[in-house]
Amino acid sequence: MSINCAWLSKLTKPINLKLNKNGQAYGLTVLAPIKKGHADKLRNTLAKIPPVDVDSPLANIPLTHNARFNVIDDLPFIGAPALYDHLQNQYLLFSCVFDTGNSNASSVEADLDAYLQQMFAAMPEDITKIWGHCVDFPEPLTLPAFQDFVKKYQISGGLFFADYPDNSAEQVRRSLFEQKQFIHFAIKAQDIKGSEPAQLKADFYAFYKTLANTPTPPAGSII
Amino acid sequence: MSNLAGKAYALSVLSPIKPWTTWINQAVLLYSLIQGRISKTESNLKKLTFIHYARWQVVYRDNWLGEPPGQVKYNYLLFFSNFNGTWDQYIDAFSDVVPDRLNLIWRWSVKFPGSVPVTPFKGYIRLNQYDTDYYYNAYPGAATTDVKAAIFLKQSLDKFAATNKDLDPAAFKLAYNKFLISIQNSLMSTGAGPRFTERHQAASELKGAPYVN
Repeated sequence: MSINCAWLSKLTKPINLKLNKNGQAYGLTVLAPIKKGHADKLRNTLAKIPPVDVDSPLANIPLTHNARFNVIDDLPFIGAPALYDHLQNQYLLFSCVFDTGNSNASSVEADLDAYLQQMFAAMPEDITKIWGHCVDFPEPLTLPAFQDFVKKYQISGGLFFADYPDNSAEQVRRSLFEQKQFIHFAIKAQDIKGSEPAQLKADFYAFYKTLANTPTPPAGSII
Repeated sequence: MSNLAGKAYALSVLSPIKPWTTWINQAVLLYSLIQGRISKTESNLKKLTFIHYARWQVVYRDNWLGEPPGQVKYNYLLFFSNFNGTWDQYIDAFSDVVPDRLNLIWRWSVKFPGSVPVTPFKGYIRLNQYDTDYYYNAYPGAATTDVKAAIFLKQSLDKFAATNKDLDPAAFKLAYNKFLISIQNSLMSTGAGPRFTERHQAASELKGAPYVN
């Protein structure tokens, strides 16, 4: 029995939640076909991106929490009696989580546009190096064409879990930085002779003021 | 490349779903979503406290753009997770802490053995997992628990600094000690993990940067 009936496909695709957000976090998933014979080249390209997070081109997009690329060679076969599914193309699966809190966007789609705009500005050469191996990649690359390309291959909906959905990547890095600094202060404060109250108070507010004026370490750094 | 970026592991799994049961799978995802959002408890996943972000999505047969009609026979449940710890610890914890929720979501996948016992469950995940070709993490030195503790600590620190400015030194010292007690569980040790290479540390650790006090 064929299970590839068009009417059945429509029947089983009743819900497209379009809910890519949890709190201010947006989950982006893009599944784009790779040009014939380009999968290995793409893998080599991905292998040449600096593996150290702070050196990654994605670190130039401060809104990004995490991102991954997977090259999908074929679909899994889990053994009989399951059917054997085989792809004629290979696919690039991209997934990332980014912030929308500061985008001032009026809709979920505008949130995505704002992020892609930042990506386009931050890593245009890398965008071409990576997605240039995919079918339909626009050449010459322009921002609207890139946004259309991503949206064409975007997979929406589903269940998106975030343990701290209301905190931006910048807030997370800032918090980690201040945590580390405060621990150092607290240890040092124990050494104040007799824990002299006046000295403790003066030291604390001096520390707090300096901390407020110290920039947050860059995205991708180990804090 | 690697499934690892700093202290986070990127898990990517595609498991086949029969087209005629996909709507049930979508309904389960919708139910889980609504339940989590309304209760504000998110879900039982928070009990695990080592997942930064996770996502379940249905990839329909016609989402594989470029494939001829009828080429792909199943829909697929796509699962992403960004977690801390080892693969085994993660699957074990999933199986122990949220087995019913996992079964509810995955039972519509073809040949899913159930999340308990854990051995066949691990075998199923292994069979359907895709390695990551590139993985980026914006805060590689921190685990999920570190992040949540740091957020709490920063909020507490700002509040403490704002509310105790006018206290006399003796009262300030008392308040400071109480504050320390209140945040003692948030004083995490973050930084480079055991498998960070010297190259990673040299390039990205906050090494040599002076403490501000």
